[in-house]
Amino acid sequence: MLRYIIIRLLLILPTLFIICAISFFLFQLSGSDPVDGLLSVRGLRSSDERSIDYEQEYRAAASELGTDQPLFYISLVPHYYPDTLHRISFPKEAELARDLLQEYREWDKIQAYMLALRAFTREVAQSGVSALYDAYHGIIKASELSAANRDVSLAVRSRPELVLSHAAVLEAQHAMTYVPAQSWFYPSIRLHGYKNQFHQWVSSLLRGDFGRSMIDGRPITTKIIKALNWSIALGLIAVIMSSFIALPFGFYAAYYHGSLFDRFGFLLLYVIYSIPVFWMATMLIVFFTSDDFGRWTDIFPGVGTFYDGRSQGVLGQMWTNLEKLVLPLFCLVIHSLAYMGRQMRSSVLNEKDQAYYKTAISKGLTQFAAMRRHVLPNSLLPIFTIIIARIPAAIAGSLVIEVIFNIPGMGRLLYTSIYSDDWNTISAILIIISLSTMIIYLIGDLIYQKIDPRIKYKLR
Amino acid sequence: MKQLIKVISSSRSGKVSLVILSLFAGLALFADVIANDQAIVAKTSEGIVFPMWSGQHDHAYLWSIEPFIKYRPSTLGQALSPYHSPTVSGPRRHFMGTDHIGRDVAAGVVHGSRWALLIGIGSILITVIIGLFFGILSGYFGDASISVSWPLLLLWCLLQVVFGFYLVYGGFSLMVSLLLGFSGFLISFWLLCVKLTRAFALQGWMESSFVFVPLDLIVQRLHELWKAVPVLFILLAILALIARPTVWTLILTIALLSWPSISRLVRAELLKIREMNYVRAASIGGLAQLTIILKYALPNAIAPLFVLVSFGISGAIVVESTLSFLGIGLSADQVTWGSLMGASRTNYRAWWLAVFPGVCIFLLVFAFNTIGERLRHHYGRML
Repeated sequence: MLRYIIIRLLLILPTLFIICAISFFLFQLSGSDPVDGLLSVRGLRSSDERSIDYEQEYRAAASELGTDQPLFYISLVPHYYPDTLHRISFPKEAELARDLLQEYREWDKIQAYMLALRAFTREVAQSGVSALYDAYHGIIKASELSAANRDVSLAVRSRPELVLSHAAVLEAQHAMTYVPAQSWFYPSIRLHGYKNQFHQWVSSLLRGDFGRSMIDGRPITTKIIKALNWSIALGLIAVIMSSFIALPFGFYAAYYHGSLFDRFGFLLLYVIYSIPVFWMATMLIVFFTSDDFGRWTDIFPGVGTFYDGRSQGVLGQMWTNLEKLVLPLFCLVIHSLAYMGRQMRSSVLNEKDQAYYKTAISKGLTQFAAMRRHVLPNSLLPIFTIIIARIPAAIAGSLVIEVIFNIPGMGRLLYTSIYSDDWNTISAILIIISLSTMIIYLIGDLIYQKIDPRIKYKLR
Repeated sequence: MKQLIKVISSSRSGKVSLVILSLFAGLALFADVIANDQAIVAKTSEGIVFPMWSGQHDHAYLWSIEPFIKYRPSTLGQALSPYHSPTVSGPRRHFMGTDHIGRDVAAGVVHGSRWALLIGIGSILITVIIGLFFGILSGYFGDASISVSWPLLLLWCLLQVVFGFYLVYGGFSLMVSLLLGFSGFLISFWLLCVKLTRAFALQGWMESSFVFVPLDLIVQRLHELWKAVPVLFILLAILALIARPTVWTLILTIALLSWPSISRLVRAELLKIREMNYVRAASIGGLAQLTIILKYALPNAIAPLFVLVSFGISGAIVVESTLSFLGIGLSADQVTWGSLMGASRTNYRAWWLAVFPGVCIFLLVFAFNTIGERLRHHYGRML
């Protein structure tokens, strides 16, 4: 048994690793800049007037976050690329460097040029000529440089103290430009060792540290744990409540198979099953939270924010906001109920067709006793898997409900993170939600094995 | 197809859902004629014109046949405030009110049926294609029937990497990159064919270097991955990546995230069918594998597939309307049922925004669910 659990846990690891890799590269693809996020949390914006300070702050923050390191253990670049291109962390500078590389190929001279350019802009910024500063700032294409040179040369004439350093820029550019033209290139592999962003990210994940939110600078781990507690609590309550209604219903519907109760109840569940959960929620809010449609329709409180309350822990907070949770829980329960009730009914009917039921009747048991003693335990087994599979579905399915009713769970956290482009948090949410899904499935399998002795799991 | 309709319409609920379906199909087909801000046929002093197709005319109409709903989903209501209630009557009445910027809801509902059906059916088509492909690979071929020579596989992988490199860094012209990629594709196709057809018998050192491709294992791992991630969450994340999602990217994303449900079923069915005697007989008889799959194996797996297809359509419609409701799917000027309902979130007093599009979604989902339920009942399986 222990061996089985350990091997199952080990089997989770490769899946989890792939999910980590996927969310890391989704994060990279999104193009959102964590350094920019960190700086804006600290109160610095890229549109600040003293941009040279911003650039310096940016470089410091980038080395702090590690974004000036290579992306992965290995990279495939054109052969003329230097080993250290990733150290240029400021995005516009890096883009200019890449364009210059493609144009002129020789990194030594390009590097000399870029250093001269950086020295010149620093001097300009100190002298306080904002027009001069703007000329070179923000250029990302090699072809735009000559126009900028002309502008700056004209402006520099009235500023003799800057002439020398501008001449150095022009000289470096001249050296860079006059190289023999090459058009072909071949791929070369660069190994970066373990000092790379992916390694850093994964190892901090293993320590349980997801970094900080790009929006408010709070640690993501605490944010997610709080949200996950809400989601799991809601999902569990919804599944437990609905199975308390659905299982007896399914049993009695199958017991009185073909009666009015069975037919009407089945039809009702069937119709409810086809109602999208967000429509149900919207309709309930529209018609039952205000007195627009008659005095008696003002039953539930409207959609509002949740009070944090003094109580710690999710259950305490749920208790404080109990009346606001009635509608969302109702929607969740009704939705799972419709599915589970139908499954239970068909499972009981299926078992009722078996020969052992007829044997039990013919040996003299009453119909109810035969159903309770023999059919019910057998029909509960497939239902159990459905209930377990329902918990992750309820956690994920409450996304819309959480968004509609402003419940601070995982779904709402994902929604707000997507709206504010907080990719740090989004990738963390994806990992945590799939990890918890896998663990719930594992627990379900283990319990299933306990309650049904016929089942012995074999490992492939 | 005829048999399918016969099975569905053998009960009252099936008939009702077929009627609902054809109603929405009619709405989708004739949406332009039903809801348009131009007249269909009009008589001017210069003769009979068709303003709906030729555009607005300067002359006054002597008489005209107007469409039933005198708005298009994109046009703003004339001098009417947003959130205009349908209970207010007038000469150019909004039968279902207006939304948050004054667009006619009735026109949006009529045109929305197009998007709902397109997304539902389009995504399930692609889902079925991908699902069948992977299902056949893992269920029919399994772990021990396709083998490749590993030096060739290595060569092919290398070629793909180099090709990708030149594509990213733009080394060659488009033509050369296409040629490189195409050759990679050809080689991969050939590798797959090596053991499928005996025509490509390899000699010498290559023959000893064959390894079996664990197709079943790979696809099973993909299924596990799929089971671990909630689809709606990853769908939201992917759509947030795409700057301006169109209907087609939405269809493709839904399909890419839902094919495992189909391939799991196809795999399970094919595992059973593969061991049947008639398939073995066909195989011994020397028929090509593709013929066996298409003519003998798949037709027996098709009945349970139809059940999943109709549930898949209703699922895709719900997912799409959920996304539009949250305001994450399509762009805001695309009027779908979900986005109309989403507009009610800023003003819950506009009950018409919640009721009419919601009823449409419910009816369509109900119809497809019922059809699936009928088919499942008929084929007598617990799926």
